[in-house]
Amino acid sequence: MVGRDTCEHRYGDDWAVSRLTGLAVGVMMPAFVVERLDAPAIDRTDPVIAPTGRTAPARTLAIGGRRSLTAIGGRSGLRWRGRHLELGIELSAAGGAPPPIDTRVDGVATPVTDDLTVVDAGALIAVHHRVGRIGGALELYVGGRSIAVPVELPPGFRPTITYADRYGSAVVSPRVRVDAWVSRYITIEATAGYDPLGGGGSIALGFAVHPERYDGT
Amino acid sequence: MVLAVLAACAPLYERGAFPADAGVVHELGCLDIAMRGAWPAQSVGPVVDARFGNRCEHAVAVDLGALRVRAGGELLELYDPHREVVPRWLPARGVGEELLEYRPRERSEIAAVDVELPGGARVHLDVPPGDALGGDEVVR
Repeated sequence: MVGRDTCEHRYGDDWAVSRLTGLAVGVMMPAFVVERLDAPAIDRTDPVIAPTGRTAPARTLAIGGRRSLTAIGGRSGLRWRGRHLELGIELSAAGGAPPPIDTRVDGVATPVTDDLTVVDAGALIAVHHRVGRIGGALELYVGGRSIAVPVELPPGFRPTITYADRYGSAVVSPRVRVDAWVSRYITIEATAGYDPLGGGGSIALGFAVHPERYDGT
Repeated sequence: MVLAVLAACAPLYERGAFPADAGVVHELGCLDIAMRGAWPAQSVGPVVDARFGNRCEHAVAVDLGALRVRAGGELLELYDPHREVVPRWLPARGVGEELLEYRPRERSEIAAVDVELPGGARVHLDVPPGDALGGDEVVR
């Protein structure tokens, strides 16, 4: 009964939507993500150790004009949803074939054949709305990107401890998301984003689990 | 995932799900509400046992504080010392129950109350004394 001090029960405890409403959790499998982005301007020189033990400069250089690439990977995160506002954190990792790159040491050029790795981490703010079993959201994602460029040296050469092959950049991406509620607790989500700083964008397909029915909406 | 599985086990309200003694069901949009009255020995005033369920696949606002309860024309005051009774959202197909005590300005014999719902519908409830409601919840 409302107002009884000895009762552990508080008004609404048993039936009301949590005041914090839904925490959508992307779990089990990360979202499948395809990112289109520009590779960084790769042209740097770092010391490597030659077979003779001496230190030699190695210049890693992107060849030609093509810079854009497609990276495929996964994305996961946590999102808190109010009735219309949404906040979240995300992590994604993807790999893709780089533009033609080689590393030149002592006049010997070794082409890079491995994929480069793109790791994004950041936060998002969004507004969302649901009509029936379909929901939609407009998101703004802000984060950082680390691109790891593979280093392949001529035989016998090895990197020094200072050899660096990572490039950092900022990501600011407006996105559109469509949620399909396959049950009252699970959504399949498709997201498309534009990444003007990175020179491309991303699309992602995944699902999320919601502890509260329709996130309390 | 565990939370989602537990939540999925929560009951889903359907029309007609209230027990037979819950009272006449009134519809307020998506919300069904049924009430019965009592005056347990432990309470100072009559008590309204309100059960409510959401027939829709979206949350609906529940504002039990908007109920107006009168006895013999006198508006009774909801006993809510902690000011808990504020509008809350009932999730899609959710169901709930609250016991609300109403107190007259002066102690008096009350045999029945009239409850006015948002929208103007009125419900007449007898409040028989000594009726046990809600198990241990009536223990002060």
